Amino acid sequence: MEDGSCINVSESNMAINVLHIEDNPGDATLLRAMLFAADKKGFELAHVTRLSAGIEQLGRHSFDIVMLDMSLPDSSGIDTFKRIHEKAPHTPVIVLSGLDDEAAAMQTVHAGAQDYLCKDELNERMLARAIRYAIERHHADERLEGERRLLRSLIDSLPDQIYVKDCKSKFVACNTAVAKLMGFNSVDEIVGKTDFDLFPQSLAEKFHNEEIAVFSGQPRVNREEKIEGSGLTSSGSQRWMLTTKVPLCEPDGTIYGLVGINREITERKQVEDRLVRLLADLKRTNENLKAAQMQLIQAEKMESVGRIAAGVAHEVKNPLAVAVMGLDYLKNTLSVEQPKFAPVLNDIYEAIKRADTVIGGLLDFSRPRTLILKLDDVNKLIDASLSLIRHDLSKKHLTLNQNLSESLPKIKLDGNKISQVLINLLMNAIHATPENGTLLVSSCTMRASELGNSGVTFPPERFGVDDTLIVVQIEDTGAGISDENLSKIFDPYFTTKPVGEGTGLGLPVSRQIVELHGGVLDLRNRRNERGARATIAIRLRSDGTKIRTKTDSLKA
Amino acid sequence: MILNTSKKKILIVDDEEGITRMIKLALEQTGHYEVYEENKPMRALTTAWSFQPDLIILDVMMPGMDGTEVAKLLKGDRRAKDVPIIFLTATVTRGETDDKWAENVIYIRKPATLPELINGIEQSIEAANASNGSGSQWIAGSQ
Repeated sequence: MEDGSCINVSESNMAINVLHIEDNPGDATLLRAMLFAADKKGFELAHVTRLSAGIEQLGRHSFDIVMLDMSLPDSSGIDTFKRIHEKAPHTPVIVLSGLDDEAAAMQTVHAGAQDYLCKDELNERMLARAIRYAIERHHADERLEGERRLLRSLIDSLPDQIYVKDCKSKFVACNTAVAKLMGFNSVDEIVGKTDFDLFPQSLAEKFHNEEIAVFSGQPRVNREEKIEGSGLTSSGSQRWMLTTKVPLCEPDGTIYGLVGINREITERKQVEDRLVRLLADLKRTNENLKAAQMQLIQAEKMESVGRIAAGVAHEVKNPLAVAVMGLDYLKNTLSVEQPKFAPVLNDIYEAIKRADTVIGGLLDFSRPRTLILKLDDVNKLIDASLSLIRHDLSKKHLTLNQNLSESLPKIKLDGNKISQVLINLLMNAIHATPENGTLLVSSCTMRASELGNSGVTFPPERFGVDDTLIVVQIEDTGAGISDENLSKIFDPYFTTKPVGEGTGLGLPVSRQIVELHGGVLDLRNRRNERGARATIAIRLRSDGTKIRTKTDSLKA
Repeated sequence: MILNTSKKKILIVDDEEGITRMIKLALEQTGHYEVYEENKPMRALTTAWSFQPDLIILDVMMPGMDGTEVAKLLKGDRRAKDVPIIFLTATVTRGETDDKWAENVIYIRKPATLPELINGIEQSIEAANASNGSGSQWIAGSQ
């Protein structure tokens, strides 16, 4: 039989195409006979005697299997197999050998052969079965290999870094993105290593601790962090990474490792940051809007109060003028003739004075204001105001704690009007404090931003954050102000004092005066302590240019 | 009209009769003043001509003609221009005191007590005498 000649064992299409490479004619004949005996139409056999001829056949035809004797005239040993396998990697190969050499058999199978059969042990049934099984096994291998390749290319094509570790935190597998990130050419350089081989000790410990948590049952570990080193995007913003680790479990729940995924979340972070900023903007805008609305409402209230105040003042003051003058007349007449009337006249006079005070407050409130600004020492104004209310302090046995800054700079202001405010606030504080209570008066300078941080709110256009303010605070240890009243205390005519004791104009007038100075008057409950705190804040370098004036339109 | 020359003559112009009556009563009770009431501001000047007061008290806000207009009229009159004026007002504002023509004008807020009013009257007359020489401000022979 010549090389390259084909002997058709069977014509059937269902037949298995076998390429038999064997230089021993006896063995060749024997194999053909065995196959024929096993299945007359089951095999189609091509036989060649040299490796070169076998390679040529593989190039020309498609075979289901190669039966190969490794000792050929033109090749011998494992090399023979390797050259065939190289030529037709997808065709299964059974090696036939005259030697029953277990080591050689293992070596060949390891190199990729499907089987290693000893010629002496061959019989027809076993041969046919070996061929069929080899083909099936090979197909199964191919399918597995295909799947493996698909999965491999799948995880390698993902931009995320994915890795699998065993229970000792050793890398079992990873995709090329991991290798690339760590500066390796191949994933094989990472497999078998731990984080301690790849990262500085402290970092590796941190990672390892996460993994211990995963191994001990935590269903997921998430870590967001800035990317160090080349951690900036092309636009110059910080890059961010999200690391997620989840356990790998057997069907019975036993954890045998973990899967880690690192994903770049820079874009998500940027969107989040933008959202947070937008939200803050929105909140600020909303607050400004609310404040503006409140100011508008307040301004409208003031205006209507102002309008009626002048009218009321005129209508009431004229009768009061008649009463006072008449009283003086009666005093001069009756007191001499009937001294018993003197106290009665005095009581009437006091009543008129009280009515006049109420109307005076109303006028104060409505009257156009022009400040007479002079450089003044706020501490001196506080002292002067305190001396006027000392009697009221001692009447209630109140303790006065003063904390006045010694280095308070002088400031341009209308001393009389600010004193009016101070006395007003002090009287309110005294009124609010129970007997034997404590009053606190303090003065200092602070930045507008500090004032804001202390909880005092003011319209943003009033002060710049870096403005230095002179701040006077008057605190009482009373019951504080109820939420309901807090929203009304600056409303004209609102008072909690008994009828006849408060005009309800003290605070609105005080606020007006402070605002005329370009400042802020704030009144709220103290944080974590009983009582209320009034705060006057005026900008230090207030040159008066911001002080508004109203044109005089009210005359009596 | 028989005048007690030791008494100072005060013309009070206010649309409210209650006020003029009460001020007249109170001032005249002291024995130092003779008071004439005028409740129609339009007639303030002619009343001044005939009464020839040493001082005029003007209410500021009156119907028809307010106190500042009456004052301008008086100050613009050849015979009455030197008579001192006191304003009675329910609201004293700087705007009023800033007016040039009113430099020597005293404002008294309502409701004033009698001593306050008398104090204002005396101050005002004294100031007028100091600048015009003592005696009546009325030009001789104008009666």
